[in-house]
Amino acid sequence: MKNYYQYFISICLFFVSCNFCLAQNKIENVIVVEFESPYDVVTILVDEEQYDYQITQQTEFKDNNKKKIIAELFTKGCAVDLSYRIESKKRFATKLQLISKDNAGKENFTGVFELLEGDLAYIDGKKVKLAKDAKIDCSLKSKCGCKKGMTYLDFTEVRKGDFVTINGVSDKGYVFANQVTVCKNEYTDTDRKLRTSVENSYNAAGTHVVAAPTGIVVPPNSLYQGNIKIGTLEYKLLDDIRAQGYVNMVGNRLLPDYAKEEAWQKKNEIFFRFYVIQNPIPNAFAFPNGMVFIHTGLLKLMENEAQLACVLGHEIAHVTYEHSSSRFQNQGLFESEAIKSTAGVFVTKVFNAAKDVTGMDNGGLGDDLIDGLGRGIAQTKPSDISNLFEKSKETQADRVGLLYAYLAGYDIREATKFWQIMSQKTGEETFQSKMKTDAKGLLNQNAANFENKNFISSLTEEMTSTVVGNYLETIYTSHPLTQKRLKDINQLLLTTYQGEDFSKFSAGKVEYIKFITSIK
Amino acid sequence: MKKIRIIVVIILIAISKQFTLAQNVDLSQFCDNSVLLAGAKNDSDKKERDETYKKLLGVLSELSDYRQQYLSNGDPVNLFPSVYFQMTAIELEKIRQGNFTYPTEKMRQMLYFYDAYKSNRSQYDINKSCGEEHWSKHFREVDNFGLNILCQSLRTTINSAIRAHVRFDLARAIRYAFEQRTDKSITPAQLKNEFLTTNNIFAQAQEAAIVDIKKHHGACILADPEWKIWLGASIRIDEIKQWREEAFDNAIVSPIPLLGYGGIPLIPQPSYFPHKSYLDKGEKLCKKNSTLFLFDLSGSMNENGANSNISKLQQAKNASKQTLNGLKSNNSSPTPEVAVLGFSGDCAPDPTTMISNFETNLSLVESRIDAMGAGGGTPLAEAIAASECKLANYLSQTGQNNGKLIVLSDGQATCQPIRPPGTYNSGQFGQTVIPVSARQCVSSNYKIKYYTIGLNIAAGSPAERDLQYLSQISGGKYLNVQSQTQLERAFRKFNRIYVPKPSPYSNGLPTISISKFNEGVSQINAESFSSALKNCEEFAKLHPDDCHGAYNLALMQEANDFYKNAITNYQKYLSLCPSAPDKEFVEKQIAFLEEEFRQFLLFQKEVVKSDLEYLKIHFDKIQNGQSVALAEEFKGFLKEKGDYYKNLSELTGKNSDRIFKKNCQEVALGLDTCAKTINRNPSTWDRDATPSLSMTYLNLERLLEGF
Repeated sequence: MKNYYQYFISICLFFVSCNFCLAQNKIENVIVVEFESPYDVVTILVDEEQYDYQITQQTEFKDNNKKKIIAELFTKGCAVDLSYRIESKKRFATKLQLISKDNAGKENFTGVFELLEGDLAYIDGKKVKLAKDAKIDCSLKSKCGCKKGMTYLDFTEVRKGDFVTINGVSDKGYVFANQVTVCKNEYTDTDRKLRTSVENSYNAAGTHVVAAPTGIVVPPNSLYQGNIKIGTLEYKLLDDIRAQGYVNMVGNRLLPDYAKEEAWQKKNEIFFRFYVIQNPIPNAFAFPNGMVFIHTGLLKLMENEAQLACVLGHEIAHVTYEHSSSRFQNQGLFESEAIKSTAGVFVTKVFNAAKDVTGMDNGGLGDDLIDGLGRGIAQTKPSDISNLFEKSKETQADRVGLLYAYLAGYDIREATKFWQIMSQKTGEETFQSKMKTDAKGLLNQNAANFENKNFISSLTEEMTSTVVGNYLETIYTSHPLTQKRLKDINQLLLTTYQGEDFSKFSAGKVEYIKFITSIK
Repeated sequence: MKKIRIIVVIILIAISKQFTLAQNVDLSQFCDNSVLLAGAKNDSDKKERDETYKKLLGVLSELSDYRQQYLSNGDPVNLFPSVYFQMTAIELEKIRQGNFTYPTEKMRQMLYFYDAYKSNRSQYDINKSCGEEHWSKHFREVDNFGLNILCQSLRTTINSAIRAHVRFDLARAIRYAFEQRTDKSITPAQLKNEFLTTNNIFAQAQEAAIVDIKKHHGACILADPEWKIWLGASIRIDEIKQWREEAFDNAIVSPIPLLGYGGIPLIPQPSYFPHKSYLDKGEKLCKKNSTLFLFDLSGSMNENGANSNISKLQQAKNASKQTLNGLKSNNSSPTPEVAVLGFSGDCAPDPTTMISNFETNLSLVESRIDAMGAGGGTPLAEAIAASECKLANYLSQTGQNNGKLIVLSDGQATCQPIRPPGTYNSGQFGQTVIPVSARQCVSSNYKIKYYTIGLNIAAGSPAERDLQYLSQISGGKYLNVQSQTQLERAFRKFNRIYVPKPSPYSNGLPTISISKFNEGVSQINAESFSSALKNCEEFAKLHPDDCHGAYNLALMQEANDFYKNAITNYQKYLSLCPSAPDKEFVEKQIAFLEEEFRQFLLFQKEVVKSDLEYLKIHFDKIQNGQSVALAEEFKGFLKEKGDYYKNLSELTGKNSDRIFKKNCQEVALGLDTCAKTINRNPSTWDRDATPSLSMTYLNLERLLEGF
C-alpha cells in the first residue's frame, strides 16, 4: 500500500511536472516572420533564428487586452508573446498574444513629414499613403500655427519637415491614413528659449581666456587645443581631417532635403555638424542645434558605411524630431533646469547600485553629492541624457534613422549586423574592464563637483562594476537594450521594408575601410 | 637680249629689298606737335589745334594702312591712297613744324578733303558701287583691270583718281572748311597763299611715290620714261597746280556753283563723317606702352633654376631679352618703351638700382640687362613702392595715363611685409603696398598695374601669396613660372596688348547690338577686361555668326584666362572669316594658347594641391590651439577660393566633365558654408567650421584625382 501510494504520488508528480512543463513554454516579445493563409504554421524570430510553430484548433489568438481576435491580424512583423508545447518533436503554438494594438492593423502616430515620392509619403520612418476619402487638416493647437478651417487636398500641399499625426491602418508595410493632422513646425518662443538654454549650458565660451590679436574683434574660443569644450568637459577632436570629412560626408548625405535648406536651418537654428571624438567608449550623441558626436570607440566597432549611416541617421532623427525640445516643452523647464532635471534621473539610475550595496536611501552618496554629480554630468552629456529614459524616442530615432539611411541608398540590413556586433563585443570581458576604467575616468573628471572628495576611491569593486554597468546602459552598448533594438529593426525590415531588393543598395565597405580603419 | 633681262630682274630685287625697311614709316614721329601748339593764341585755340592735328594724324594712319596694303599685294585700288599718303605726310610735317599762319584752317581743308575720298571709298569697299559718279568711274576701272593690271591701264586709273580728287572733291572741301572756320575775320586771300605753298612739295611727294610704285609696278616706270615726270603723260604737275588754283578760286574767292562729273551739281560735302574715329586713331598712335621691369637681384638669383644648370638670373636675362626682341619686331602701336630696375640688399627706403631708363631703343635696354649682377636680400615691398613711384613720376612727366610694372621675384620679402596681417592673398583693388618713407610720388591717380612673376617658388607659398596680392590690388596679373621657357611666355603674356576689332563684321545690325559691341571695344581699350568680357559674350550670343564678335570674345576670354573657350572662339573666328587678314597671327595665337593652357592646367593642379595642404595645416593648427591667429587669413582664403572653385571647371575647360564640375561645386559650396559659419558666430567658428572644412578637404582630394 505504501508502495502504491508512493507510486501514485510519483504519477501525480509526473503529471504535475508534465503539465508544468507543457505550460512552461512561453517566450515574450518575439516577432512574427511568416503567417499566411491557410494559417497552419507561424514562423517566429527568436534570438536571430527562425522557428516554425504549428497552429491547431486549440491555438488561442488574443489582443493586448487578452480579448480574442482573428488569426489574420497577426501579420508579418507583429510583436507577440508566444506560448507553446512540444509534442513528437514538433512545436505547437497554444497562444499568441499581441504586445501592442498598433500591430493589429490600427495605426496612430505622430512624426515628421520627410519626403513625398508620388503618392507615397515618408512619415515617422513609415511609408504612408492616403486612404480613399482621407482628410488632411491642420491642428488647432496654438503651437501649430494653423488657421481655423484650413484643410489640405493631399500631401503635396504639406510642407516637408512639419509634424503630422496619422490615423489609419497598416497593410503589407504601408500605412493607409484616414485622418492626417498637420502641426506646422514653427519656431516658437519655447524653441528659442531652449536654444538659449543649450547655448548657455553647453558652450564654454570664456572658460579659456584667449587674447585677441589685433584686428580680430571676437576671438574664437570653442575649440581649445583641439578639444571641443562642453561644460567642464572637453572632447578631444580626432586629429584626422580625412576621417572627420568622411563622417561629415556620410552625415550630410543622410539629411532630409528640408534640413539642407538654408531657410530651414536659419529658422530652426539647426546646423548639422558631425564630429569624431577621440574616445574609446562606443557612443554617439546629438545636440538640439545639430551637433552630432561619434566616438572613435564606436567607429572602430563598425564594419562599413551603411552601419555608420544607421547610427548617424539615428542621431539626426533625434534632432529633426526635436526630441529635446518636446521634452523641454512638456516639462516647462527653462535654462539649464531641464538638463539638471534629466541629469538627476541619470545619476539616480546610475547610482542605484550604490543604494543596493550600502542599503542607504541615497546609496551613501549624500544628496549634495547626487546634486553635484548631476550638475557635472548635466554639463557633460546633455541631449543624450534628456532622451535616454524615453525608450519610445529611442525607438523612433532608430526607425527614422533607418529611413534616412534607406533613402540615402544604404543597405539597412547592416543595422542588424551592427547591433549583433555591439551585443557580442560589449559582452566581452576585456571590453567591460576597459569600460570600467573609462567610466571611472568620467567620474574623476567630475570629481570637482563631489562634496565627498574621497568618493571615487571609497567605491568598492562591486559598486564600481554596478555603476559602470548602469552607465553602459545609458550609452550604445547595453545588452538588454541591444536585444530590443535588434528586434525592432528586424520588425521594420519585415514590415515597412518588405519586398525591398537590398542587393541594389550599398554597404560602402571600401570607402569605410579607406577612411576609418586608419584611425588611431 | 636675254642677258639684259636678267640684269633688270636682279636690279629690281635689289631695289625692292633696299626699300622694304625704309617704307616702314614710323608714324609716331609725328606725335610731338609742341611747336604747333606753342603758336596758339589761347587755350581754346590750342585745344582746337591739338585735336584737329590728332584727327589729321588719324587720317594719315588710315592712308598709311591703304599704302601698306598696296605695298604688300600691289592692289591698284590702293595706289592712289599711297600717293595721297606721301602728300599728306609731307604737309603734316610742315604743319607740325609750325610753318602755317592758319594751321587749323589748313588742317580742316585737308580733313574734309579726305572725308570725300573716304566716303566714296567706304561705299566701294562695302558694296562696290553707289559712290559719287566722279569716283565710281575710277573704282569701275580698278575692278575691270584687276590685279594683273597693264602699265597703260594703271596710268588710266591713277589719272581718273587724281582728276576726281582735285577737279571735284577739292573745291567742295575748301568751301566747306571756309564756312566752318572759327575766326570769321579770316579772308580767302589770307588763306590762298598758304594753300598754294603745297605746290612746292609735289616733286618730293613724287619721288617718294615712285619708290612705292617700284615695289610692284616698277616695270611700268622703267619701260615708260614718261612716268618719271609725273604719273603718266596725261596729267602733269603744272596741270594739277592749275586745277588746284581754279578749285580754290571757284570755292571761296569768286564762288560759283560746283558741278560734278557730267555737269550735274555736286552733292553737299559729306560732313557726317565720324571725325572721332580719326581722333582715336591719332591719339592711339601717340600713346606709348611704358613698361618698367623690376628684377629681383637678391643673392638667390645666382642659384640655378629648378631642373636647370642655368642660374635664375641668367634665365631672367635670356627671357627678358627674348621678350624685348619680340616687342621690337612687333610694329604695332602703341610704341613700346621699356625701363629696367633691379633691387636687392638691405631694407633701404629705396633699394632699387636703375639698370636702364625709359628707352624706345630696345636693343640698348637689352645690352644693359646683360650687365646685371645679383647679391643680397629681397626688400620687395620697398622696391615695389619705390619703382611704382618712379614709374608714376615718369608717366606724369610724359603726359601718359597707363603704365605697367612687371615684377620678377624668386623669394619672400625680407624687409617689410607685403600683405596686411591676416590676409591670405586676396587684396582689395586700390590698396597700396606699405608706404615707404622715401616715397614721393605724384599725387594724381596713376593706374599702374603690377604684373608679378614668381620664379621657382612653390604654389601657395607665402612668397607666392605676396605676389598674388600685389597683382590683385593693382588689377594686374600673377604667374608662377618654373623654367626659362615659362618665363618667356609670362613676359609675352604680360606684354600682350589686346587690340579688338573696332566694329562688327556684319552690316545692318540693330543699334542695340552695335552699341553692345562698341561698349566692349572701349572697355578692352580701357583694359577693363572682365566687364569687356560680359559685353563681348552678350554680343556673341546675339550674333553668333559675326566673326568680329567671335574675335573680340576670344580676345577677352584669353585676357581672363579662359583658355579653352578662347581657343574655340579664335577657331570660330577663322572658320567664319576664312580669309581674315590676320589669319596667320590668330593661328599662331591658338598654338600659343594651347601650350599656355597645358601649363595652366599643370599649375592649377599645383594650386589645388597647395589648397589641400593649406586646409590640412589649418586643421592641424586648430588642433594645436592656433586657430585664433589664423582667423582673418582663413576668411580671406575662403572668400577667394570660393570664387576660384566656382570658376575652376570653366577655367580648366572641364565643364562637360560632370564629376569634375560637381566636385568643384562641392568644394565651392563647402568653402561658402565655412565662410557663412564664421560670419554666423565668430566666437565659435573654429569649432563650427571644422566639419565643412574637413569635408571640403575630402572633396578637394577627389577633385585632384580628376585632373
